[in-house]
Amino acid sequence: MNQPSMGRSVQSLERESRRSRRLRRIVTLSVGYVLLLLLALFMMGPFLWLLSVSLMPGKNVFAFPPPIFPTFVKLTNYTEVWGFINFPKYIGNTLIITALGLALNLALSLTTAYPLAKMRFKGRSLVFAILVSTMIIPSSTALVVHYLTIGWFGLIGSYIGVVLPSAVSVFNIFLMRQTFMGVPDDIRDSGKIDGASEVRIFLRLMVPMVKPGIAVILLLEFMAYWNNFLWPIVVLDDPGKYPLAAALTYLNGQFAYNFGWIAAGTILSVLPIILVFLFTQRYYMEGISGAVKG
Amino acid sequence: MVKQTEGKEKAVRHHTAAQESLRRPSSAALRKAATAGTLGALLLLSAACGNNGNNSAGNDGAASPAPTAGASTAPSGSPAPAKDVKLEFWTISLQPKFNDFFNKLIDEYEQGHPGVTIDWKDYPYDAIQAKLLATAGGKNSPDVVNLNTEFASQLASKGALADLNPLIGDEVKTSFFDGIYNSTVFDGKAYALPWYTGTQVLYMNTSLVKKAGLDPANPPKTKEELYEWSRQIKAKTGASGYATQFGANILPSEGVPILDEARTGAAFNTDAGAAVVQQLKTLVDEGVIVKDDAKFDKQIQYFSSEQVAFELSGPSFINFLKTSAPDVYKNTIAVPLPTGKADLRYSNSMNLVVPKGSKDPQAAADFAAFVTNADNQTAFSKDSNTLPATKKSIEDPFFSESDNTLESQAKIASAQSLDKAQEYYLGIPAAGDINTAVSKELQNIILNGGDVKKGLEAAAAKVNEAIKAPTK
Repeated sequence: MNQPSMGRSVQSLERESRRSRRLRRIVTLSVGYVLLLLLALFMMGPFLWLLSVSLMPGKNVFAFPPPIFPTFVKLTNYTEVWGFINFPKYIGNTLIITALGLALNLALSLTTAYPLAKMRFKGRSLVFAILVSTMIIPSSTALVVHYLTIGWFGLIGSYIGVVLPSAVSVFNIFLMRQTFMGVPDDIRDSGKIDGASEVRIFLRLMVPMVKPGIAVILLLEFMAYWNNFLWPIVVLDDPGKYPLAAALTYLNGQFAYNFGWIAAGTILSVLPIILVFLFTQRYYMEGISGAVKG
Repeated sequence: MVKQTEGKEKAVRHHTAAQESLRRPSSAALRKAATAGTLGALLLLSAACGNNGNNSAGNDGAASPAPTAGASTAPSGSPAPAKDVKLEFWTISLQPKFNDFFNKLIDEYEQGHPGVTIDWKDYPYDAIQAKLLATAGGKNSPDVVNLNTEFASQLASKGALADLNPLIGDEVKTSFFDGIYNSTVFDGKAYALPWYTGTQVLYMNTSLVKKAGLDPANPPKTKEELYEWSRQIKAKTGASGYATQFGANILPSEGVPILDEARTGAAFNTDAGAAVVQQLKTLVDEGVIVKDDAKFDKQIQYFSSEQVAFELSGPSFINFLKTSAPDVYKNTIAVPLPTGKADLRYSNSMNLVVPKGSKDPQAAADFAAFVTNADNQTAFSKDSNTLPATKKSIEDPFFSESDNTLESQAKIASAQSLDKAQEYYLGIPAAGDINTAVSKELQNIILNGGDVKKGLEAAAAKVNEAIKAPTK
């Protein structure tokens, strides 16, 4: 007589507590989401402001409070800036520079990092220490030296001259070394047992294992090359060969200044970066967490 | 995600940095880490390129004996050089707006000077300094370069520019306003020919001024009156007076020199200096001046968003205001700038210089003199809403006729003070370090509540140290 009623009350108690637990979870989750959304909006703020400004020609750009969402949409800034700057040509230049830079960077950082991570030889840690210690030299001081070196090679005015100084990135080598170290040695050993050559092991077994690291390098270097404007201007003599970021600096001359155009031009120039990020973000997250763990 | 946003912000920041550097050259060279780094490298290089420069100048003298400077700088009828010369001419952000103007100018010059070809290249402000520093060490130095006074005087004091004195005639030297021309003369050597310029004027937001019960038709004449107006505007409307940058140049404008006559030590750590800084501090506390070390792009924002009623700036401020805040532009008028104790108004000039590495300094100086002669300066100023640096140009009725637009108000107000205008410059190699040291202490005193006397003494100690440090 007693037992079933007790059982029922225990059951209802359990149900009760389960419901309240679920409720609490919903509350904490929603609070978390609201905070995250606010944070996202906060981080996106400057970008949204730029977007709004570019879409509202003729409005006070610096109105207070700053407009985050446009109240009307007009594309005149975009059409005008498209007429002012030859976007297809400059995007083409940027693609050439970026592709060259990415290829060199990947090839050099992979082939440097692999031996540092997986092979045993004398002076390995010394080489790595020397590489890492160069990271403290600020790159801006190297500008004149780079210019002289590139001039000595006779590469002034060429795209190779643009990408060569940044073709070796110690950070990328470091990142790839950490990623390679996270790959078990057994994989390399199994390749050896099967009689594969070192090159074959590297290309067929190891490189596919470090795809997340490659994605990180691709994304970071893509952004770096895409936004780089100072060095290309210094080394290229013909403005017709400039990448997009360099061409955009012409928009803020003392005489041609138009903030709406700057905003529209900037939005147009960051679109490719956003696209690349959307396609690589999964690998990017993996790669970053892998590097931190390693 | 964070990285990505940073990228975008960086893109925007480039632009604002450029605007600021155009109008506020004193801070541009100091702040840009890139430039600061490369300046150091230049020290090493200038020695090397100095030799090159001397050699080429010597060869040149041998090739074309006795180039009479007076005759060759005249725009027409000058003797053709004996050999073919290709001159590389660099300007700052003038393409594509002035393509027609310069192509015509260059055609005219090439026809008058057979054998001379001009290779005109235009670079954005952000990059021209770095590019010039990089090429200064190599063999492909340009021949005629457009630079602001700050950077020209820095390069000159470090020995990277050619002395123009033996290359130009007296009538060229005396054609410019003295204050502007002398700002790039050191030890009797002339390093730059002044080109287009502008002096500061006072921009006034008439709707804020009227709201405070003041009459825009009867504008403030002295700094004291300007402060009084600002206090009233603050009380009635809540908007501040104006935003400015607390740079070293504030002191000389109130009659307190930064350096002593011989340029060998600090001279601002006096009672007069302390009084100026104390007053600035009080003005900031009262809300007359915005409590922010506002660089030029920030000043545009304060004025455009009507958080301040005034802006102290050159005529090109209009170019920025017009497109960023058309509604405020309609309510803005320009009047002559109220002056401080020193009764001086700063001008902000662009110059043409000849780097020491030029292959043919004589031909380069001739071309520079042609571009900066009175006729061509008048024509360029009319085209570009700037002011000419030549005395004769300013007699042109264009610079005194008003069509009541903000542009012409600013033009007239600015043109009136050209003969008294001075550039801010220190004229010693340590100028960059000195400006940084002084403005850092000023900001510490004015914005962070530092002690006035102690701060000035600390700044003076840093300045003296910078002067003594071996820079050459």
